[in-house]
Amino acid sequence: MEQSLRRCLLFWLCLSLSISAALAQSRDIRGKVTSSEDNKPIPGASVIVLGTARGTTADADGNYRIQANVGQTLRFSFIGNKLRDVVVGNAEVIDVTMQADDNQLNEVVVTALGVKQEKRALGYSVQEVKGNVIAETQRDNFLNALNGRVAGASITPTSGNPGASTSITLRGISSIGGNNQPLFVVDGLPIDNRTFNQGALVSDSPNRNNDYQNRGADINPNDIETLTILKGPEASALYGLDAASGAIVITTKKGSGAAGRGRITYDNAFRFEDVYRFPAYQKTYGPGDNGTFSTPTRLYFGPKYASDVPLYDNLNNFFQTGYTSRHNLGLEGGNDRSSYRLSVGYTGQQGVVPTTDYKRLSVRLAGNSKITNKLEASTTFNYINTSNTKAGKGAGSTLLALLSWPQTDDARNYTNNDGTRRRLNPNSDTQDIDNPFFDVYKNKNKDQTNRVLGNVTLTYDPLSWLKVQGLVGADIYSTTGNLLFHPQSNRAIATRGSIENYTEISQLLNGQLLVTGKKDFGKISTSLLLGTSFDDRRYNVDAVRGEQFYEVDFNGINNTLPTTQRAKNTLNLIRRQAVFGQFTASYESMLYLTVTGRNDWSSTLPEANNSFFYPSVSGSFVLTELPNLQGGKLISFAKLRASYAEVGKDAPVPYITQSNLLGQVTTGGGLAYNVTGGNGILVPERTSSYEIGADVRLFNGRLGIDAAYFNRKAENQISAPRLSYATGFILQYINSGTIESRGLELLLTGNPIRKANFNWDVTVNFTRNNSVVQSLPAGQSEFYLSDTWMYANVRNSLFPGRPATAFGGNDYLRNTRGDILINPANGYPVKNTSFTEIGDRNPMFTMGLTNSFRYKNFTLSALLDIRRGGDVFNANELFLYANGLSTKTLDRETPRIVKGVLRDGLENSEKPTVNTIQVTPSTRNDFYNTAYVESDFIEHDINWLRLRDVTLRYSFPKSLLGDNKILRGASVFFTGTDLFLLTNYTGADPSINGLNASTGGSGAAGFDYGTVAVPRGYSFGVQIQL
Amino acid sequence: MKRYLLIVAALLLGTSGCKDYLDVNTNPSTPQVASSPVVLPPMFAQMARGELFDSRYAGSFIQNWAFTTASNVWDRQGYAASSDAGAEKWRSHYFGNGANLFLIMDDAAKTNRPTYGGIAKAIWAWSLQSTTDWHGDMIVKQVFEFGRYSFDFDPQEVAYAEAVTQANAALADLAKEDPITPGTVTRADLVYGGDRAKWTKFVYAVLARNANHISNKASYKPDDVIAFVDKSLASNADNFLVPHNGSNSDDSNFFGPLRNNLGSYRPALFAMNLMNGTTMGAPDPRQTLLFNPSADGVYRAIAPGQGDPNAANTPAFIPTFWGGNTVALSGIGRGMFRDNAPYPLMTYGELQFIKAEAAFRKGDRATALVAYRNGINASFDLLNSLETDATKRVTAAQRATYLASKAVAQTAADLTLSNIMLQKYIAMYGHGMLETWVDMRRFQYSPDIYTSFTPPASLFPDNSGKTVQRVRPRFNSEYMWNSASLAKIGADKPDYHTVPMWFSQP
Repeated sequence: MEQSLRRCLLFWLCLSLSISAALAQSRDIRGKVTSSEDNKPIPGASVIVLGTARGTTADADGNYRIQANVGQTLRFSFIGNKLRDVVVGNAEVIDVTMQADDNQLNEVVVTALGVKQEKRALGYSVQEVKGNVIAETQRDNFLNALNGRVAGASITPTSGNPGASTSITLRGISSIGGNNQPLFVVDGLPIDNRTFNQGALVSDSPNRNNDYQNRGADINPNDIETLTILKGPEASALYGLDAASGAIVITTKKGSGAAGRGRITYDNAFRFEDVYRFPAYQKTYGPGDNGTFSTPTRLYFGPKYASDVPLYDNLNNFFQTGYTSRHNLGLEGGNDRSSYRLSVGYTGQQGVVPTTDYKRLSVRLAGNSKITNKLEASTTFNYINTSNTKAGKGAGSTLLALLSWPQTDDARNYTNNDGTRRRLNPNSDTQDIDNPFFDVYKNKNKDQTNRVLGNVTLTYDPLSWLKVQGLVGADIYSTTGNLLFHPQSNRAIATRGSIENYTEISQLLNGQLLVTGKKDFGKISTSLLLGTSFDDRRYNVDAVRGEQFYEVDFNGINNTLPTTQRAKNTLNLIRRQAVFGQFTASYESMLYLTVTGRNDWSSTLPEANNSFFYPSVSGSFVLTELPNLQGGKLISFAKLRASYAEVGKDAPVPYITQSNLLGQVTTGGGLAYNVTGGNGILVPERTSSYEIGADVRLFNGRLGIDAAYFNRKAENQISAPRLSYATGFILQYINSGTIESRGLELLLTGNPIRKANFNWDVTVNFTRNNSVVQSLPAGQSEFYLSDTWMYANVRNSLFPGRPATAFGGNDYLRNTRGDILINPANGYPVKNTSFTEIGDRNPMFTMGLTNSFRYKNFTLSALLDIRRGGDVFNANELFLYANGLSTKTLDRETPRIVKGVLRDGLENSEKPTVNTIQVTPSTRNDFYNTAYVESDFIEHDINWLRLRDVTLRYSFPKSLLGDNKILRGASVFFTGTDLFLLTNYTGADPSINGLNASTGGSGAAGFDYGTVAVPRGYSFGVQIQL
Repeated sequence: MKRYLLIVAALLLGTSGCKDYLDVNTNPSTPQVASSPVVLPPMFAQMARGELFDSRYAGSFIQNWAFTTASNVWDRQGYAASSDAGAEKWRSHYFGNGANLFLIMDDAAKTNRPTYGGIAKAIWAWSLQSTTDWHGDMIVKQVFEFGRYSFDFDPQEVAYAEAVTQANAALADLAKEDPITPGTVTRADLVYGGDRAKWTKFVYAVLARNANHISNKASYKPDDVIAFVDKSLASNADNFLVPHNGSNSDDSNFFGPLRNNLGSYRPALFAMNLMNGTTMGAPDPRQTLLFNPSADGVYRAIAPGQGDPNAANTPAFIPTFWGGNTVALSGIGRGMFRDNAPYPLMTYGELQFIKAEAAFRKGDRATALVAYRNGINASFDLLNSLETDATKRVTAAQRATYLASKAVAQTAADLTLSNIMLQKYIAMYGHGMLETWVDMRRFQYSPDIYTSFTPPASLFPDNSGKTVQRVRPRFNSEYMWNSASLAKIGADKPDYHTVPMWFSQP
């Protein structure tokens, strides 16, 4: 295996070298791009040699350098400025001033494979977010900074704790049970955004009680230059199967190639955060059963507290003010042939839950150099070290334990005088759940990651019309984790202490070779890109678990009884290869056509079916280029676009073409089949989609509307549904099931005020999409994600013809007329114990509204995130209700008759017996803890209005900095995150995830159970440029 | 230009030269192919698992024991809706044993190791027999068909015939010379150590059950039953005992305190009355091996569905089957209910009672009496062997007294069918619950046979007054994912569990 990888690498290398054989002469042109308005440099201005694939961007000082022949045309472009074409003459230095253009039409965006394309040529929608916008939010996980900024993206943080994972899906759900997250690409090559899945642990937990950072969040937000979101397979056919759910393409900051002195930037931020949203609970009735006092108990069905009983606010006593400090240092330098950028970023965060923290150190070096006039090498190297101390979530976790902790007891006293755990009930093991203070201080939950991302790109321009580029990258990380339950913890009563350590090693190697040729035929310009890529993903986890501690406070596997020690090893290797091509043709900047084709080979499919081809076609038509529409006063620009694409997809995990055997732990050991059956005749999945859209700019570009409608259908999905055990297994991998998604995305940009001293920009994005299950695997009537079945009878269930984001759960049993049936024995409603659709988590629409103001040296920007509709399972409330803590139980002394008809055999007759049985819940707790119906705890049509991010910045004017040659710029800022939330949700925060980002399908967003709400944060800091 | 095109062509073709680059789809962390000697050991635990999980509920149906809280659905001969409870047999038959047995059969055929093939077929025959006796109609003909998502149910008759077919196939394999196998099977076969003669006896035991269960039918042939018994287990040394290490919750006896599955069960009145002399006319010394007295020295039991009225009464508190009042106070349990006690899945005693019944029905009372008394003696020996504390074992004198008492038929002329079935019930207490339930259904829970037996005062509402006759197939296998086929046999009806079995009908 190893050998064949090396052989393939060698093959590419030889090929690349043979291409380098020919050399032709062209000249080195350099210069500075400035704005005509204020003569300031324009960093990021794009420079391309027309008719070639060559292009570059101006550095932070507006300087650029590029190869061109005499007679060739350089095209300069930058957002908000008019295009400028300059023919290369004899001069080596070409300085260019650019004029502002209200028609922001010539934007260049990074598309698939890092190809920069004019936006007008694209037949599909892409959205770009600037790195400084992301960094300005001061969020540790850059995905959270995208929330509300990207039309079509649905972003869910797991919790508000440090290092929490965040999941992102673009344009809804397409995979029934597999991964729906987009591909992450940094500087042209994919990186790993995995969230650790607890299935690899010996304890094989279903991801409910812990969270693990999604590894994409290792990227320091301050290193991001731009981030492009390619939303559908249209945009990412060239990235292949991993991009079937879209791609997030990150371009990192590079050094300036300017001659002269380098540049130093330093910025810091200090953030304080507090969690202020909690589930409401009653403080009137004390512990007990059926109205009678009893203690200790977690049931609050006793008599009212006496007025003089002191009650403790254990919830507020527990949470602390979180504090984060962040420092970023950037060093740039170079000469006219080489440049580099070194950045060091450090984030240290203490969470709102005591003991929790997250630390990240990132060192990144990016360099590029012209080896010859035609050969350029660039390389980036990034070392990241993170550590994360966590608190458990879900059942038995801190939040739920705090809520149900006796209010008459001060939870802060968690130990006895001898240091042992203070137990509320020394005689009962089952009732005495952990004191949350004991939980965070004595149980351990930590992981550490070391990661290296490296990437080498060689670009060779042998001829003016030909470019060859080879990329090789590696993404290697190892994580060690430690999860310990103290011997005195209630969670380890039976095991007398348990510890689980794991080491996770991931290695992703990949490479690409791209050949691009361009040729013009009169008014028609064409280009052809051919490429090939390989991909080698290794993933290993070694987990070891032991029980029965010797020394109670020692954290180590050697401190456990040897006969309890178990190990589990997971080794995964996936390899893929591809060849692909892209042909583009354009006619006079008016008509654009792109055709792509790709063939993938994947190791995860049976050999007979492991090669698959898929095409795409897209086009754009710039209406305003038509002679009679040119130069319109009202409509300054209008474009129509359409695309169609298919993507094939391999099996989501390796080793499923055969069944796996599992080591048995029963007497005598041995091997026996694992629960999921393999399948030797799997074929690739297929996702096909189309998109139509329009891009219109009005009033000289002051108002822009970009609209897109898409439809995507994922068919023949590879999933592992439960089937009859007569298959010989409990689940089986099969090809089946279809999900269709469609949606509308709008992006409005406006610039209502544009004056020298005052500018106001508005951006609105709007998303409405839904994913519908067309058919389920094996023609079943329900498919559910068992991990999401975390509390009571509510789970993420798919039903044919229904939304892919539905809640399945228990509802009332009703007669044929729809009346609730009542149990004649006790007057309680009868529950329908089969799972039916009781809600849909998909919102009606989401909107992000960004306002940016600039007044003199002040800038203020604010992002409002709006959601309308979508249901949430308030499992916290159900938990409180069943334990007598919900405020809904305050009327317990009021006798009531549940509206409905008796289930006495007459319920479906002409005259059903109307229920007249009176119930007084204060004397019968089972009214609350057994007679509830889950569907009552689905909160429907949850809306929110959230102030996601707000930043006020003051940049010191040059005059204030003085004639200081050292200090080039300085600013101070204040940023608030999640400052307020207006919602009709009765729980703490509707934007949470009941599991974590590793969950497939439509996940567990909208399951609110035992998760700490997102805190609000206040940051301030300075930014200095030297 | 030409040169570049050539390069590109070479590039595109070049990738297909890396075919073995992709050939990495075999799991390096767990085997995907396995041979008979490694797959056989866990089969025994799976055999015990299906029976023991479900025996909790069988024990309620036959009133071996009852639940400590009132109105338990199983005590009331009902079922738990939307739950897999009561259908672990289903899981073991199709999954735990199921596909693995076929893996062994295939491997044994390929590698010419008929002993493994014979053992796998023997287990499969036993599983077919015991699963249909528990669930009734089941999937026989279409089982394990690859690519099939809905499976038709076959009538019990088909399962009975298939059990015989598989048993005969097992006998044929076990009769073959097998020079390769002995080296590995001694260790892999945790029960019989690869002894083909004992496996042959086990297969005949399955055939004896199969032939005896249809006692109500005209096709019943007592001579066949006796012939099968005579070729089957010949003494307690031939008993099929599934071993348990008892070192952790994975390898412990399901009924031991470590697994804590019997903590809420206490002896039922019917069973206690058989032991304390109330029903049989003389006290049974086996009472001390199976049950534990309260602190005041009195043996107590509870009525099914009524719950335990003694829970708050310290001197009258009924101890667990493990001896202590709580799990924590029970150590590793005792006797049959020990963490490391083996599970008697097939015993010589049971077969002697089968023979006694067949001989009695045939009219050969002399043979019946001998087999009946053999069965009782075998029960004493088995229970004594499971009791680790020698001082607590039943002495020879105690046994002789009991055997001479009026609890035991003394002459062929006195022997009744009720004598045989009651002694069989006692002999199979705590382990043969599934088989005892077959017997009780054959006799329609008749108090003429099971003296003083009464169904629970309040039957489960869905029963509509009928007694339980079968257990519904597994919820998360059939009710969730094969419901159309279930509807065809009426298993979607709320009283499906009261539909009489084919075997019990004339």
